Amino acid sequence: MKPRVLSSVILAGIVLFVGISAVHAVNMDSGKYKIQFGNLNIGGAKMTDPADSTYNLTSTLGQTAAGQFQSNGFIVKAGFQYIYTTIPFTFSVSNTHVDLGSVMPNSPVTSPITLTVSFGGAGQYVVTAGEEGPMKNFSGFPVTDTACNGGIDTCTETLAKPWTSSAAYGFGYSMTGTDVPADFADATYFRPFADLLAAEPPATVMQSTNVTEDTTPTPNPSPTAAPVLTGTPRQMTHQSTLTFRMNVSPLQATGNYQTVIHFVATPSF
Amino acid sequence: MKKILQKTKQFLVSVSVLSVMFLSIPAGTALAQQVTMSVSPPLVQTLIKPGKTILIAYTFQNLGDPVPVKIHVRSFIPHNALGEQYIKDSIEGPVRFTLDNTDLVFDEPFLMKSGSSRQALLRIRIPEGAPEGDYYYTILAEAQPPAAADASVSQARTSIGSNILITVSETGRTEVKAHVSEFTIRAPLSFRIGNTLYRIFDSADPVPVTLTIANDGRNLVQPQGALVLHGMLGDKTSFPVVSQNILAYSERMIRFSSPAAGNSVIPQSGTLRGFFVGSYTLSTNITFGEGTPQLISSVSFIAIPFRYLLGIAAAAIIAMLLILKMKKRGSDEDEP
Repeated sequence: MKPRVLSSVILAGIVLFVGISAVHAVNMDSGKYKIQFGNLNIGGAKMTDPADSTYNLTSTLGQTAAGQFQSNGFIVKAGFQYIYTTIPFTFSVSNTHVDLGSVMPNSPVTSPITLTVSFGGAGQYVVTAGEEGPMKNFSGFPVTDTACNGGIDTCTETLAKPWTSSAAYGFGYSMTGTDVPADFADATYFRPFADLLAAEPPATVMQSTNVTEDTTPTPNPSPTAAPVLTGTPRQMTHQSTLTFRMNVSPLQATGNYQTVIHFVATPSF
Repeated sequence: MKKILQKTKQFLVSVSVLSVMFLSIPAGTALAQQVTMSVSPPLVQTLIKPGKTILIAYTFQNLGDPVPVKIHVRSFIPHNALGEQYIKDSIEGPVRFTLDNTDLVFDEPFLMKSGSSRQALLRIRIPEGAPEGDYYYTILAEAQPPAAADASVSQARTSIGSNILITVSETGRTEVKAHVSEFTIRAPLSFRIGNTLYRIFDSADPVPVTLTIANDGRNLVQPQGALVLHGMLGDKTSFPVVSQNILAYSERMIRFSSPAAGNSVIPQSGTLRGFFVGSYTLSTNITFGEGTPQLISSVSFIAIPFRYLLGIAAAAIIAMLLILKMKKRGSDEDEP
């Protein structure tokens, strides 16, 4: 009986010691490389005082270590200080090959695609778009970028205007849905794509500046403090529709016209 | 029995013929392709000495159709106060990037199958003698568009990125130099008397606030603290600010914990909501960490319960009219 008790105690001790060392494993080293995890993985935490939740304290292990900087020569932080999430940033384009079909003069064709962004609460992100040169046929003959209806309704790469006239020619896009620029007032508003080959900066087509929606609005009727951002990871999906539109004049050379639109999605800094 | 065998034979021949026909007809080219990619971590920030090297593990996942992908790193600069950025076509600055994966090379495509994920081990080296300061980069996974078909098409090249903020410092000390560049409340009614601007709200209106902080230093800063709303009766309400990065020599609109109106065309830091009556002052109480200067700025507004007053006035007028009418009717009835 005694040896059994003794062996149980030894076993429990081994398990405890192994457990403790596993909890503290933060960095992975080998002779070749070292992977340093940021605060996202090792110690980001939110503490609330148990009495009446008056005080909130957020902590990130990577940030408190001036001494660590002196000894190691670096501090690395991954993720955002104000949100604790392991949900990756995801971007989706519903169709990368948009067939505009046969384009007849003065008969505009449109074709939509869906852009989707999802993230775990650190919601600031930007999606930009630009064309790698204008629509061209194999002879290099281009379809001009749209100016929309023209006159007071002349659109630019950053300002959408109505494009309703079938006598207004070119190639452009409109946006509807979540987080689209405010100048796309309705589905008749279009912009030309920024020409990346002409060194035009890509235009923002989706953007969210809200860092998290996981907050509770201050309740009426008295002005009281809104709660501190909870930072609870929550999958949020924002979706918009980008509609390509092309309209050509009777003088446009026949043939197939093609271009590449470059979408870039980045979570903000 | 013979009849059954013959029918079975006929059926098998028909199936074989149909199968051969179906297989021999070329299938239409299915070019529609969905690209869905994810990246983790979404942001990496490091404070590092010259001469040091760090290794960051990025995970890229393909949740769409199989697609060739290229990985590269580019410099970026902050673009405006809303957290936008311009990604450049090249890598600038002294920082050196390499991939530790034996089978991954920058700018060379590799196939990512549906549902697969790929870890890119990015080695970041700061050469000895690299000037102190901040350097900003984006690691991008770029999905290549499919081959062009014989039609009028618009193809999409899709990139997903994750930002890398590098502060190079010999001592670990960073420069904190910032000021409030904009602190405003947009009121539906405002007027100026002398040097004082009066902003008037209805008591039940949301109060939109914009706070933009400019970073005049060579290192990024993170504001900490709160906006404090003081009422005329001494009441005080605090709205903590979100500790976002303000990159070197740039400005950023700072969010606070009362969310901005969702359908607002004008970007806002947040919106004060409640039932306000009287004069209020909203002030900043923001620092950038221990021992850093405090940013002090304030803005005031006046809230008057116009709608309630109008309602009360309308009710009073209606009541008076009714009383007058009743009195008149009474006096008419009293007359002989």
